Amino acid sequence: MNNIIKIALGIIVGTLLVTGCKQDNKISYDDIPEKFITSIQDLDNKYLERLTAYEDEDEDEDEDEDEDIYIYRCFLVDENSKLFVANTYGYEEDMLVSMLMNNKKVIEVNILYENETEDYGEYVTESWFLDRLLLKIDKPLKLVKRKKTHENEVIAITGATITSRAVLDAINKCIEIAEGKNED
Amino acid sequence: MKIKGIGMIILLLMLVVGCSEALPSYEGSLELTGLKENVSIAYNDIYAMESVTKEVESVSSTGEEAIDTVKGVLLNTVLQGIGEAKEDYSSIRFIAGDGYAISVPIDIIMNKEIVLAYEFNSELLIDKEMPLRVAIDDVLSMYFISNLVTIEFSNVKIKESTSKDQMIILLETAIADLPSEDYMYYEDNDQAILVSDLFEALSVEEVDEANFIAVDGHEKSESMSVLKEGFIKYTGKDAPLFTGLDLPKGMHIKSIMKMTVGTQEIVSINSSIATLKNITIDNNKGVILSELVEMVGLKAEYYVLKASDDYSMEVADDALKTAVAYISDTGTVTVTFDSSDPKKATVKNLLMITAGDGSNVTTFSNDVSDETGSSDKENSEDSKTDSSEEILWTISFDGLEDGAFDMTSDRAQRKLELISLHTERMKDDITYLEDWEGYKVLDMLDFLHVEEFNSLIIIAGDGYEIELNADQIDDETILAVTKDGEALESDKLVQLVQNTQFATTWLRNVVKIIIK
Repeated sequence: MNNIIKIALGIIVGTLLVTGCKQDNKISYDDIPEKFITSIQDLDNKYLERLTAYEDEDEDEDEDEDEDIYIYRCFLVDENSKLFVANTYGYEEDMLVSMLMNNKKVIEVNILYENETEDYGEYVTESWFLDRLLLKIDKPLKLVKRKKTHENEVIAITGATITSRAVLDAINKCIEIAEGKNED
Repeated sequence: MKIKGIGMIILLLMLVVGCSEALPSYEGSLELTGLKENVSIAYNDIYAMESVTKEVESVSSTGEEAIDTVKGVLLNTVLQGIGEAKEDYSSIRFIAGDGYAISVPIDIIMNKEIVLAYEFNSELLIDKEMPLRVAIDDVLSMYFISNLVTIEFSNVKIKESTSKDQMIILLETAIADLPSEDYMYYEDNDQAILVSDLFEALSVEEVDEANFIAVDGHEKSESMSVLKEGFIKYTGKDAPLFTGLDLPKGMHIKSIMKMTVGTQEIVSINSSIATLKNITIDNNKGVILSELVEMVGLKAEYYVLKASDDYSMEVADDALKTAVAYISDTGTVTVTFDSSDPKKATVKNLLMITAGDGSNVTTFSNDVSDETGSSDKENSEDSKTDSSEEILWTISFDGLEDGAFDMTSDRAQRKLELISLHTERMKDDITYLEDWEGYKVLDMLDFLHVEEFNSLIIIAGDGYEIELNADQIDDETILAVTKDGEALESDKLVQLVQNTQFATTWLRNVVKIIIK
């Protein structure tokens, strides 16, 4: 009897250990491209509170194989602000984007990793483009060219529509997730 | 025996492996349009055609040279299979999957082999470049279009133009009255006009292509259908720049010097100033007009300069050598000729230059030096007159659009009408009746092309000055040179006189007038 109890306890403890490390199937370092890991680790060390409910599931278990945007992390920065970190596919390859938003607007966007085309998408890290993204989140952001006529519009980088759209789509997904959870 | 048998098998295997090529495989077809019949040819069928391996050299827009060894199928091999040849067409346009397109000019079509390559330097094309990439030896790398999906063939309308029907259009004047739109270019909020608006305003001919030359000498042609959907950004970086909302960046044309549309040569003065020889006339620095005309290739004995308000002037070709074209404060083009006669010497808002027939030629007197320091005094009409006439007085006019001008006694005598003015002025209860001869101030201003002004500051030799508003200047405001039949005294040579009761504004010894 004692042996059976010991075995059962061992199984329970073992299961707890495994699930504890996996954080409810959320994306772990094993699932993150190596080029992004350092940036993610830095943020994991910096921010104490993680809102896993806003994060995507493990990529391997994601049934939607066409999904280009993965929210790797969502951190609670303060009472009203959340920092999202997402992978989005640009023109050349994946980019890692962080965006800080509160209940009303996008406060800051940073490109943590990109390898876009020189003289085209490489301008995605320029402040003059990133500043265009600091908009209210009451509507999805919309990509336009040449000039904007509505508040929620973002003018694309000249000659780099795909790169621009990749960042915008990532922000829109984060807005959508945040809005969805808020309603819940 | 066994060893021999195994050896034979190994040898056979090696032969088989050696003979078979690793050909790519790609789903889909290459579209060929504009031929006798439009055709789709499967990429895999193209890969299976007779291939060539060639070394090709290319030059990028920044001047970098590259040499590649390419393997693929000659365009003519593909065409011969359907009874066609590239030499039957005057224009071939390659179109990539992302919309990037480029036309190959006729000299390349006729004189060079065009390879539809699937290998570069022994490596199959990467995904983004598949299924085919154009390769042509000794051309700009902009023709090495990847991800080739369509080839358009056509015989473009090429109009043979003579100097008689060729015309130069000055872009900066042409766009001045067109609706302007905001255009965000990278981080700058610039201004642009629609090319379709420009073409409509100029009534451009219906041709298939326009040809561009940029400031760096880069030449490119573009189809009219693409052009009419685009913009010309005329402010900021790379201006004038041809661009479009959905136009791949590789199809933008930066720093346009000249755009040829049929017989119309649309030229940017800003680009010309940056590229061609400059001159300064009357403090206006710009491009020498003869350089601009030569760059365009308009050759004539006489030229007609026409402004946007239809004002025109015909000049001999020599006059262009001492004429400057520059951008005025209004953003349009002004031409100033090197002449002592400002009334004749300037054309504002210059829109067009065409060949003339010599029927109404304006000649210039020239006693001013150009930038190179050469003087033309011996040839000028004025200087011949100057040698026999003494200059009695000079009044400097400041505040003119074109700078400053000295009105001398001899110029006034030749160019202006001497009028008489009778005045009756009061002083200390005494009425003085005086008869004057002089030149109307308004005539002088008209001579200097002053159309509007708010006031004149009139300054005497001793520094004393008065200011008269525009409504105080009338046809009876003169700069008098005689009084009661006698020339004014030498130290008071010109006197401002008005037909007023009191002489409070009658300033003696006028030496300078500032136009405000």
